[in-house]
Amino acid sequence: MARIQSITTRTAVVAGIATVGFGGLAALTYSGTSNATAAAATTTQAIDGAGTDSTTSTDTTRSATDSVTPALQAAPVPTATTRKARVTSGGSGH
Amino acid sequence: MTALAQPEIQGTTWRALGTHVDVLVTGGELDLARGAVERVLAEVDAAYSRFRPDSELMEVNRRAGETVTLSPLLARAIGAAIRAAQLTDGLCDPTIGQALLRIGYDDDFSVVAASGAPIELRVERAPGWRTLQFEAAPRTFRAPEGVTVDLGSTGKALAADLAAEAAVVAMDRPSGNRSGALVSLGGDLAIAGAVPAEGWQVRIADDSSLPPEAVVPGQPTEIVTVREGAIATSSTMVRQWRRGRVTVHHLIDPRTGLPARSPWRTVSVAAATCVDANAAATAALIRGEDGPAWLSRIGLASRFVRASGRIVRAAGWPDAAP
Repeated sequence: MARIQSITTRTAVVAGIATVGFGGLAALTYSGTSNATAAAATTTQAIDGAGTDSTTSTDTTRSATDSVTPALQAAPVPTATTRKARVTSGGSGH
Repeated sequence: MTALAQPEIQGTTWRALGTHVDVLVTGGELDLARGAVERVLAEVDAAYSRFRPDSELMEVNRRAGETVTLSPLLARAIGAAIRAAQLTDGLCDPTIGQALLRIGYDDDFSVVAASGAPIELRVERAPGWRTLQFEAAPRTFRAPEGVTVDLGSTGKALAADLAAEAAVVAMDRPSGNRSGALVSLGGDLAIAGAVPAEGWQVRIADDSSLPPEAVVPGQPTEIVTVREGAIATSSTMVRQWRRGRVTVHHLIDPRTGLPARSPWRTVSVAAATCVDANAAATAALIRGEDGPAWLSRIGLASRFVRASGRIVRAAGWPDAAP
């Protein structure tokens, strides 16, 4: 644990960077379980993102912030162009 | 004396995190942007590289079975990975570390032997993200004993998101101007800040390491303009290696613990963040034939390439310009 705490201290300087623009992620809390049935119930609730939590009884350690997990967020659709490309999006070759 | 006009877009490229880095900027000093990106990538490498014995993630993996306190950056990365798993029905899963090791992906890809002795490929479902315990506020985390966390997918995408934001902050601070940046890490790219008048032109291809102007027979490519958000591409055409007579790749299907067998060789997705684009692209490829329908339902513009090279577009992804 001392090693982990040391790393934590050393990397605390990056906290500012890590929080830029990602406030939504900061709310995430998940307490897993080896009970697949209970886990599935809580997961569905989180994905629905309805802001309500009717499954708390199956997982007493889970935070209410689970239920605010948003969906994958869309961006404006790209437009086709004949201009010259400046960068390539593809698989990570090497 | 007349000052030379600064090009509207400047760029540079180098290698980091086992892949190539491209940084493009507009309205700011490229050197400031590069410095900021390098700092973010160094911090990411120290926090969650799977190939550095001294990284924080490697320490966390060695302590599987214990509850540990994470650094803010690793907590952010693990939070992003768990969220991605939740939102992809578990197809983009951070508990595939052991599966990657079983197929020989045990070091930086540049030193993974292109071919090697035969290995036994057996179906072994990944433990799954539901086995993880994570509390964001105190930044505590516990993985069960025997579970190896790998953040290779969403981790790189998060690094792109953070680096793009950091580049803009670094450029804007001294000048007070509004600058913009595009940061690509191995083909997963994020945009932040101001946008050039003509937007950012991005080539979509199987392999991001190809120069933007390269022509490769049999590799269908097209160019799109993006103005905000991110684009990520997942492909089975890269990071392949052979073990015995079997070719394997790095995109693991958590349901089998084996390289995904998909009708799609490459999937590209546009989303608000690179993390979301990457999670969607990876999951859609693993999902298989249903991938385009799934991304249409959740409204993420996407481009799928079949093994034959035929292209399928979903949720408004445009046809290639003539």
